[in-house]
Amino acid sequence: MDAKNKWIKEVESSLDGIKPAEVNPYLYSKILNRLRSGKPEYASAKLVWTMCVSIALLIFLNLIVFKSYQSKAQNKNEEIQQLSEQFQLTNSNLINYN
Amino acid sequence: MSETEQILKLKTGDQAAFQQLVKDFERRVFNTCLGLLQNEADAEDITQEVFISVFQSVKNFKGESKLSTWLFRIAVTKSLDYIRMKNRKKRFAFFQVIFTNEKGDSKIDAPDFYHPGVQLENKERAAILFKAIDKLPENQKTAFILSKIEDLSYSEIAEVMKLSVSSIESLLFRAKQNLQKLLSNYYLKNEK
Repeated sequence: MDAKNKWIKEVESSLDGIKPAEVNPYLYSKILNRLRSGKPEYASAKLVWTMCVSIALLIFLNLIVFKSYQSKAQNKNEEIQQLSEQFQLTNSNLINYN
Repeated sequence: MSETEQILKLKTGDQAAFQQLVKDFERRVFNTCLGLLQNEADAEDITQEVFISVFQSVKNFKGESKLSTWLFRIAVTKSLDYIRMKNRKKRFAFFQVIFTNEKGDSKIDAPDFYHPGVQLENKERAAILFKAIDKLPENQKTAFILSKIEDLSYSEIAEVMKLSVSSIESLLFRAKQNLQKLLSNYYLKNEK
C-alpha cells in the first residue's frame, strides 16, 4: 500500500472508538428559560424573499407608470407648442392690450 | 415509563415527562447536531431548539415512528436548515472583500473542528476527516454522520431520512467514495 492510501486509511479510521461528547449539564434549564421567555420566531427565508420580490415589483411598476406619465406630459407639451406655432400664438404676435 | 405513556404525558404538557425526555435523548441529539454542524456552541443552540420544537409540536405527533426516530429527524432538519442559513449569509457577504488579505484569500475560514470525543492520537486526522465530511452533499453527510457517529443501523437511518435501505446503502457508498477523493486531493496538496 503506498503512502497516500495508507494515510487515507488512517484518516478514515480516525473516528473509530469515538466517544459521545458530553452535553452542558444546564441544558434542561436553558431549554426551560427559552420556553418561558418565548424566543422570537424568525420569518422564513421564503417569506422574506417573497416580500422583497413583491416590493421590487411594486417599485418597478410604479417607475413604468411614472415614466409613461412623464412621456405623455412631454408629448402634450410638444402638441401645445406645435399648435401655438401653427396659430402663431407666440408672445410677439399677441396683441398687447396695455 | 413506556414510550406510549411518555408520549401521552408529553401531550398533556407534563413537565416531568419532558424533563425525562430531555435526559434520555439530550446526548444523542447533541452529538448528531455536533457531527453535522461541527461547532459546539451551534450544536448546543440547535439541540435546545430541537427540544423546544418537540415540546411545542408533540400534540401533533401521531406515533407512526419511534420517539427517537422523530427526534433524530428534527435534529437533522434543524441542523441542515442552520447550515443553509449560514451559507446564505456567506453568499451575501458583499463586504467580505474588506477582510481579505493581499492574495485575496478570505480570512474568514471555518476553524478546524476537534470533536471532543475523538481519541487524542487521532485528533489531527479526525479534524481533516471532518473538513472533508463538511464538503459532502447534504444527504451523504447526514447518512455518514448517523452511521459513523451515532452508530445507527441502515434501517434506522432509512427511517430518520425517510428513504429506503437501498438508498441509504447507495448514499453511504458514494459518501465513502467522495471522502476518498477529497482526502486524496488534500494529501497531494498538503501532505506530500
